Amino acid sequence: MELNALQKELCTKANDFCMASGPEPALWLFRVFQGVTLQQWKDMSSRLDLKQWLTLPIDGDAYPHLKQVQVSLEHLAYQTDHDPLTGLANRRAFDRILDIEIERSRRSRSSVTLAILDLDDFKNVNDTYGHLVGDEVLTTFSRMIYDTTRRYDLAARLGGEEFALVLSGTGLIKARRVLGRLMNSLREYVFTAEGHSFSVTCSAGLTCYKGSVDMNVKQLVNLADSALYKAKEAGKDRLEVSVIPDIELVSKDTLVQANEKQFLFGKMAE
Amino acid sequence: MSENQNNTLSVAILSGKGGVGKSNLVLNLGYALYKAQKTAMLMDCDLGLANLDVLLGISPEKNLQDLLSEETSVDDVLVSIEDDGLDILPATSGVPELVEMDEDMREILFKKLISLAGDYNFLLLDLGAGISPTVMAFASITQLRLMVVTPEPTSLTDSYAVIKVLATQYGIKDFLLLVNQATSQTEAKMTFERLNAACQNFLGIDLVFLGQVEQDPMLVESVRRQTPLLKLAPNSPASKDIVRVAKRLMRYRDDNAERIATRSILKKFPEPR
Repeated sequence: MELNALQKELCTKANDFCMASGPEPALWLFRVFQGVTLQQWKDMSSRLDLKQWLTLPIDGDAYPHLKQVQVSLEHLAYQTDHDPLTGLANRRAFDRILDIEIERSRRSRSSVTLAILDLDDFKNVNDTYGHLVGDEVLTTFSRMIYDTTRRYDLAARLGGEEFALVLSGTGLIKARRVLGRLMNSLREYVFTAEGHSFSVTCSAGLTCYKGSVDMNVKQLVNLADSALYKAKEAGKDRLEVSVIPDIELVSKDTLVQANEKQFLFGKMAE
Repeated sequence: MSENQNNTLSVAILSGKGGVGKSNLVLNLGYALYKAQKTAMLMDCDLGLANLDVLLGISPEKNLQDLLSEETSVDDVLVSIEDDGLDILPATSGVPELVEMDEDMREILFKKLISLAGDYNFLLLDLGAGISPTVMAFASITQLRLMVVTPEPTSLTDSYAVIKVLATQYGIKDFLLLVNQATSQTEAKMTFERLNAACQNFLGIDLVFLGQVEQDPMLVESVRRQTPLLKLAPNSPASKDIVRVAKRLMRYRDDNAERIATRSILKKFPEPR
C-alpha cells in the first residue's frame, strides 16, 4: 500500500508532535488510516521510522496488533541489554549486573571475580584482513567466552575488542583456571582469511572482591583494568591479578600497633 | 522489655586469649553468688568448644544450639546445677557451622533469653576466646563486661586487642578487669596498671579493677575432678578471692539498683558487620 501525500504529511506531523512533547511517557491517539492490515503497517512503520507507534484497529481483531507491541517491546528490551554484533551483554547490562553482584557479595561475604579481557593487536587484524574478518574474530571469541560461563555468570562486551566476565561466587584460584582455559582456546584457534591463516591472543586482568569492605563498580573495574594494563605491559597474551581489595582496604583502626605492644610489655618509657 | 523488675545484672566474661581460666571463673563466680543467696544463670557462649558442662562433669542432652530451632524452649535446655538458683545454659562442641550466628539466629536466641533472664539476679555469659563477630556481639549486649587477664604478655596483648575492637567498632568503653592466676597482689596490680595505662594512653578508656584471683593448685584438681573449686575447696586462696569478687559484683548491683532497674537486661545484638 502506498501512502498519498496527505497521509505522509499526517504521519510526519503526528510523529513530530509526539517527539516534541519530550521524553516523558505520553499517549497520543490518532485516527489515521482506514483498512490497514498489520503486515501493511509493519512495512510502513519501518519505512517511515514509526516503530514506536502502537496501532489498534477500531473494529476487528486487536489481538495481533497487541501481540506485535509485545514483540517490539521484547526486542527493545533485548537491544538495551545486548551487544548487537556478538549477542553478549553490553556495557549497560554489565554495569547493572556487576553492581548487583557486588552488593550480593557484600551481604553474603562471598567472592565475586571480575575479569577484563582485551584482544592483543586487534587493530592489525582489522588493518590486514578488513573489518569483516575482524568482526568474525570478535564473534568467535565471544562464543568462546559465552561457553565458559555458567548460568549465573555474566559475559559482556564492553566495547571494541574489550570483554568482561563476572564470575559469581568464584575466587581467584578457580577464576584463574577458567581464564587459563579460555585464553588457551583462543590461542589455539586458527582463523582463515584470504587464504592466510592466523591466530589471535588476548590479555586479561583479574580482580576478586570478597565482600568485607565497601566497593563499587568503578573501583572494581579500575582494579581489573590496572591488572590488564600490567598484562599488556608485560608482553601481552597473559593474565595478571590485582591485589585483593579486601586486604588492601580493610580498616586498620582496630590493629594493635607496635607501640601499643611495647607499652603493654612495659618496654616503653611511660 | 525496658523494665528490669528483678534488677538482673548481666555480665559478659571475656578474655581474647584462651586458657586464662574464664570458664572456671564463671562457674565459681556462679557458685559464690549462689552461696550468697543470689540466683544466677551461667550461659556458655563458646558456641564451638563448650566447656561449662565439662567442668561440672555433666553431659546435657540439649544445648544452646537447640534453642535456635523454634520449638525448643529455654526451659528444655536449662540445666539446674543447684536447686532454686543456679542454672547453666550449655553449648555444643564440634559444630563449626554454628560458631558464627547470623542475624536470624541471633534474633531467635535473643527473644528466648530475654523471656527468662528476668528470673535471675545475675546473668553471666562465658564468652569464647578470639575476636570473632559472635564473641563481639555477645560482649556488646550485656550491661557489664568483665575482662579476664593473666600476667602473661600474650594475655595482655589479646585482651587489649579485644578492648580495642569493642571500643573502635562497637563504641564500648566500660570494662571491668580481673587478673587471674596472679602469683602476688603486686603482680596483679602491675598487670592491671599496664593494661590500664595502654587503654588510657591509646584509647582514652579507664578500666575498673575488680580484683585478682591467686594462682591455686587446687583449681587444677577441681578441673580434674569436674567439681567446682568452691565446692571442693571453699577455703583455698582462689576460692576466697572469687568470693571477694562475687561480693564486689553484688555490691555493684545494690549500689546501682535504680539504674539497673531502668535498663533492659540485654541490649539488642548489634547489626552484623
